[in-house]
Amino acid sequence: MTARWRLYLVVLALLLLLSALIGRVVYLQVAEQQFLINQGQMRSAREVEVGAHRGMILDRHGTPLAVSTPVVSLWGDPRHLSEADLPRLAEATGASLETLRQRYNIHRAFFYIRRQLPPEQAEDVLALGIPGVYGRQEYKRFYPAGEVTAHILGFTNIDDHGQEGVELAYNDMLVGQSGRSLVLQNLNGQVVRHVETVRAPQPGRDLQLTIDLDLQYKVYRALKSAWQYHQADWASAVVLDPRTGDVLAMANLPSYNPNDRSSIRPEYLRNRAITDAVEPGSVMKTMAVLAALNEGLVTPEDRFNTSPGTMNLGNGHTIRDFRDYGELDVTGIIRHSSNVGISQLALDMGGDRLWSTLYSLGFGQPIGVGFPGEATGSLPNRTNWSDVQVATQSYGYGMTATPLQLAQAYAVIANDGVLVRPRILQQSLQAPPTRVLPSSVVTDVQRMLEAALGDGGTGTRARMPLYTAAGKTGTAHTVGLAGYDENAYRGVFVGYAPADDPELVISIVVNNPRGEEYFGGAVAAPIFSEVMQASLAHIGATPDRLFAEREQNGLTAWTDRLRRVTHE
Amino acid sequence: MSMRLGALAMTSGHSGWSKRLHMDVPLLLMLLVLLAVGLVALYSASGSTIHVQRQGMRIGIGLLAMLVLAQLDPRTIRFGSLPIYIISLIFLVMVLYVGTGAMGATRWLGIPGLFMFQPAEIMKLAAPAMIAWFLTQRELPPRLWHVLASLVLCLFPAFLVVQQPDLGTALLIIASGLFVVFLAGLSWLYIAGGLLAAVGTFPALWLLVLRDYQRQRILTLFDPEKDPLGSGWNIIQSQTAIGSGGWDGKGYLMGTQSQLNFLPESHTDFIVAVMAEEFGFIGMALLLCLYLAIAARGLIIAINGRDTFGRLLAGGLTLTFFIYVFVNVGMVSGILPVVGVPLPLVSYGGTSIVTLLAGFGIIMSVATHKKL
Repeated sequence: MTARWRLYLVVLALLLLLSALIGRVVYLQVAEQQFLINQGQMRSAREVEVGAHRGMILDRHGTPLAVSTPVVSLWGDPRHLSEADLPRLAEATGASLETLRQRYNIHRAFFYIRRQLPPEQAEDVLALGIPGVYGRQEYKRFYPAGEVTAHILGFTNIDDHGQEGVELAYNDMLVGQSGRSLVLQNLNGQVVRHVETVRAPQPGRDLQLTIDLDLQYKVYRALKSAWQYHQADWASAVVLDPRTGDVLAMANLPSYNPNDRSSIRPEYLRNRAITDAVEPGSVMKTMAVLAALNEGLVTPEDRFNTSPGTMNLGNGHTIRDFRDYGELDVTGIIRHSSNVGISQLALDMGGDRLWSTLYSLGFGQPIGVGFPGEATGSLPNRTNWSDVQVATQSYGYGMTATPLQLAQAYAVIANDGVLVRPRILQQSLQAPPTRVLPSSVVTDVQRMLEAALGDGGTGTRARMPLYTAAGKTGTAHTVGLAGYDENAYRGVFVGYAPADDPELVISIVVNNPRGEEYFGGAVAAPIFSEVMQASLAHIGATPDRLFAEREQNGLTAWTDRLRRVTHE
Repeated sequence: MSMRLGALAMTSGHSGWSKRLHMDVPLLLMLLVLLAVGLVALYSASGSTIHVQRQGMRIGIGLLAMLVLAQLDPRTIRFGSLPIYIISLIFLVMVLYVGTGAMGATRWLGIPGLFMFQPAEIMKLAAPAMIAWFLTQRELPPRLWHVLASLVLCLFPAFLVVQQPDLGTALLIIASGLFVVFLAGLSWLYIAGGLLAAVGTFPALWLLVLRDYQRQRILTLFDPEKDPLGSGWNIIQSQTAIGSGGWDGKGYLMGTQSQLNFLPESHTDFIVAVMAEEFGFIGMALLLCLYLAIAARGLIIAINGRDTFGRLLAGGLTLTFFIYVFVNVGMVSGILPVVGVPLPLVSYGGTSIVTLLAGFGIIMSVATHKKL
């Protein structure tokens, strides 16, 4: 009997124990289920960052200038990575074993094994299954045009942040917003499964520049060969559409290859067309004439006696012409680039009036294309101008301007007196065009600039077979450590074409050419001619000089000429 | 051959092969189902077929042991009790001096790489057999000194096992001895007195017998979050695994806690957490019911045993088996301290699967040797 009783008790005890277990399981699974499910997910589910695609930089026709390609950076976690695996890792990635050891011993939880590997190679390394080795998707910037567009675009650093040029100036627009993804990770932190995208990465915005890549190539090539031929320190060229302010091309030398920056030197990085303000020399005479005509002080026919080709301003300051030009009208001053003549004109006018015209043409002010390190140029504004200061300023000394500022000022002339702010980004907001000079005044100056390219002018070598053009030469002593350098010059040419209906403005600056020639008319004008003709042909401008010759010589001569030119 | 799975009370012996092999068909079927479920869970928990193969080999050995023991008459087993007990004691002493260890405990005896076994596991069978033999030599219900002698018979080997240290097995040896004494008709006075004594000696046990890590485990039970990355890790992870399984689980091989290595020891002591995560409450309930049914069948066999020795031993072993389950599931689900008891017939490794099946062989022997 007692046995039965004992048995019931045993059975009861067993049932009690069993219900205790089931109760516990029910408690965990039902009562605390949501909490523990979350706990479970917290242990294994992680949100990870997904890199965003950096926006492309395009030229005006949509050709990519800067693109991002996906790469994988491999990193290691020393807590899970065994030091014994390092040699294998070094071999697989091509990284130096010594560097890996060093990083492994310094960093506790994260170090880069190799950055920016092609995805296939990184996959191969990850496939080795070495614990503690992980991959991270990144993007690497690639610049298809290389050195041709290097200064405009700049470059990004390894973390995809802009360091120079447009990449830096418009970094905020280019960078996207990285997304987040929910993934399952195991205890070692390796991603096991992609669960869902929490927030899709927002790719950066594409930027469209005003640059025309084909034109940029032509300008760069022409400039480079001239730069090499003249063994110049540097050279810069800006091609501007005066009607829209679009910078169609902007080239500087020396340049660099942004895709391989191992041998880069700081001076290669300068986008001289924007960052280097220099004394422009005689190209500024045009501005002095504009000022005098605008003030009604002279007419183009007014004559100045420049004999004997020198002018003494006292205190040992003597202004010299290349030779004695005798009596010159205002047009003659421009055509022959007479320092004495322009100084007389400027001294009659006074420094204040010269200053206000120069200021209205954009000198001494930033253009605002948004480039890092844009130079403002200096335009001194003094209450009491000395004669020497007024005179030298009239032919481009004692003030500085960037090649882009020169192009901007000549664009005003090409536009019959209307200032259009240059721009490099098509999306950028532009200040509305403003008339800064009456067109009648500008028209007079246009004739003078055409004359400068005419027979006997200083700019004859700027002429082109197909197009008429107008412009002005400039030659300036460069500034060395001890003031003006006697034997170092800067050759400048700024002009526009076609003369009657200007479609392009080009400014050329060649700094310190070391060959026989150094005058702007000899160094810069031929570059202008080559670049301008190529540019006009590229944009499909009507060859007006050719048409004019057809009028004169009849159809046959013209067709022969055309045939010859097109076969060249 | 008619087999009615639900008929737990069905007496065996009316079908030819089972009678000849001395198998209790309901018990055998339930054990085979449990073993199969265990292998399936082991594959998920360990993630390798090697573990499954090795486990399968052990199961084979265990089933063989079960078959052999089932052939023996309970009387033969009874006569063997004393020598086996003494040999086991000698083994236990040897373990302390020439044993092989792992993870800070020395539990194994034998030639490494060739044949290894845990003497403590054999003692789980030898101790209850010895006590059953001892008590059935005497008049029942046992008198006080018989009870005390029985206590010594299980406490002494348990003490040796604690030295290894292996607290879980020691407790199971004591439990198996106590069950036999209890089934032999222990007076309630003794039981009450024993409980009081146990409560009274607990502080002494805590201070003198338990090692630091054992104390730590017990403390951890009450506040696992106190040291979530250390001693609390297992409990937190296993509770999370069980809890996140929900009603019907995450599906086979889909448990994140276990598959992603968050759950340590997932294929040995904590395998039930894997099962709970992947098969949910339904799976757990079915598993526990299967265990209960096996225990119930064992008790029925014990009740119907031919002699007192068989009844006591079969009952004691059955109850120990169930306590095994309770302690394991209890510790994994966080109501008992982590004492290192595997889930019987499911957890990977050890001699336990062989001795458990051998134990069932004894129960089968009792079941199939009723009438002369």
